[in-house]
Amino acid sequence: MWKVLKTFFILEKSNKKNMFACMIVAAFVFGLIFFVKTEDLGNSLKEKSGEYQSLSVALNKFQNVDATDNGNGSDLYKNLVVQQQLIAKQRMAVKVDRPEWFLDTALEVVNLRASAFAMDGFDKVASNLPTKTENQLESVFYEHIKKTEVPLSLDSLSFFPFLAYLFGVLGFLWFIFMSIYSCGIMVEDFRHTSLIKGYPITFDKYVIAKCISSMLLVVVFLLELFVCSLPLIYFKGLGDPTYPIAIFNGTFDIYPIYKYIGLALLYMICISIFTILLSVILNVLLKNMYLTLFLELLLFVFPMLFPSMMNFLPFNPFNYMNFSSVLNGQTLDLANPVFLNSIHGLMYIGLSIILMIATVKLFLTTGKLKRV
Amino acid sequence: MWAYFKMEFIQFMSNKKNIAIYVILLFFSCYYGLVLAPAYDPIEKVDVSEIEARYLTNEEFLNNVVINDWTHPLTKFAASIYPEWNEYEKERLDAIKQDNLKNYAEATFKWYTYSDNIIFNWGGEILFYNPGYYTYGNDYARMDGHYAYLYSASRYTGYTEGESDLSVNVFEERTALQTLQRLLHSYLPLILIVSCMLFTVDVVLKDRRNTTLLQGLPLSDWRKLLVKGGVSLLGSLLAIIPLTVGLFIICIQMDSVMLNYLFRFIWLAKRYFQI
Repeated sequence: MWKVLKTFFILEKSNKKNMFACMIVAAFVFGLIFFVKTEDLGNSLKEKSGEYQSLSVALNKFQNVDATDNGNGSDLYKNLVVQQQLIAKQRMAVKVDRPEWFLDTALEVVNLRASAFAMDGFDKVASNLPTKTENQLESVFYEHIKKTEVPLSLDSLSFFPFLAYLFGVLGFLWFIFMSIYSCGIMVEDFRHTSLIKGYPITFDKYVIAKCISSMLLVVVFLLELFVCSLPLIYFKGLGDPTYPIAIFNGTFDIYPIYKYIGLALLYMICISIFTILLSVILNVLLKNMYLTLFLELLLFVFPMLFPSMMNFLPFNPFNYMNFSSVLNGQTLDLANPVFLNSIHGLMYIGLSIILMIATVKLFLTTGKLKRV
Repeated sequence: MWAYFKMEFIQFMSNKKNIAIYVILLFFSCYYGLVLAPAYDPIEKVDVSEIEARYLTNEEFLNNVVINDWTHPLTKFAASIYPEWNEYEKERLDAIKQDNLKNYAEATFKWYTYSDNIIFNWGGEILFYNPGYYTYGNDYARMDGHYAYLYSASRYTGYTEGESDLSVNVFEERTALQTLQRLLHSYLPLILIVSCMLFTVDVVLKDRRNTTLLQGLPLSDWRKLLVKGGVSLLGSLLAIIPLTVGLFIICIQMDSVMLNYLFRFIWLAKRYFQI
């Protein structure tokens, strides 16, 4: 086993594809840094201006009438007018640097929004306002900040907040990256079948050795993500690793950044193992890397194209491949909401990994390699 | 030469990388047609509640305003511009409520021309375009609004003068042809160029595998390259086929002009060729 691994390491070391993948990962991280910089993400003045603007668009749909408590406007109209005033107040609070005002008004806005969902005619303005889930996440976040009196940190380019953002984005991309990376994992070896047949080990051991060597490279990629973000410590500082992030895992909850990153890493490692094993199986069955990639991506987009299938098959591991949307609770806003729990997701992925290992052991070991 | 062309073309079409690109384009266009195109949210919408809200607000102002020597100049200004404005607004509102799209287009054309004239020339710091243009950090929102209003005005004259069938989707530029036109302004050319590059990246290099065989062909290098160019051009143009699928999906969703034409064409074909 060890000798096979050593052979694989030598092969992987000289493989240009790995160099290329490393470069892509590094380019992605630096690209994202520049994206955050140019888009000015985390600039609350900009965010609040956007909210103010969409409220103006929403208010355009109402006749201008008396919006005081005794006025003759509809409840929703009054609600929106107050929201707009409060957002303006928040902008001012940012400008004059008064976080306590910002926090109080933020809580008021969140409560106003929560009450607006039940009002008549809300559908008319629904596209201009945050969804119920987004609002709930915000509410949990601000209540936590209020309770623990953590200072509102706003620099999204310091090390830890950036990492949280990076892993959030990777949640959408990691499966796609991994499937592109691993789609040809066995095909390359099949070109020299006589060589492989000569290896003095069984097929399952061969597969496991292959997976271990690929996983080591995945670990290298993950380390690279951290290493490439290190310059931010010098330029923007470390940031607060205990800063809260609102997430959904069955209930609306608060995770500190380090816990969020830990969960994301766990997910990414599980997804990597899952994808590599899936690629192995599909490679052996289909003997074509493009078909493998195609099928994997098809399975990946299937739950997104047909969200109702998620309710029908809650244990489908592909529901959880896009783990940022699971943690954001995005599936709750669908026409028929789906409750996806991130911890269950990890369990389902783990179970499918075990199933796939069993498949490799039971079905692919016996003589399949000879037919390659 | 023709035989070489055929050989190259078959190789081009059976190249796995090229098939993958076609499939990816197909995927992309289906995704666009199913998810992104219906989510398109234009600023200049056909929104009855918006027109009605504006109309009622202005009407109430006009009904209650008293003009005398002590009236504020801005009030006087408002009282002088709103009557005509509201006339158009009323026309628009009545037309859209009766589903009379021709009249709506006509009134909307007048409305856009008048609004732009007033807001751009006299608006200053008091009258604004649709709030959708005033995004954070956009110093030229006024010019954006100016351009969009004039663009809409010219669009709506086209609708009144043209013979085409009108629908709300046409007004909001959601039909397949209008989506295509919008995409051609943004990233569709880039996608086509990149896919063309990916298609042709190995068109010459693949010959290195069998040099001796290919050198025996009775063709000069120049002609070979010419044929390869022709094949790549044809193959890249074929990329339009998977993209058309997306357009077709938009067609079906948006009861488009194009589908209408297609049906008319089939009907004509049936009539003339007695199929």
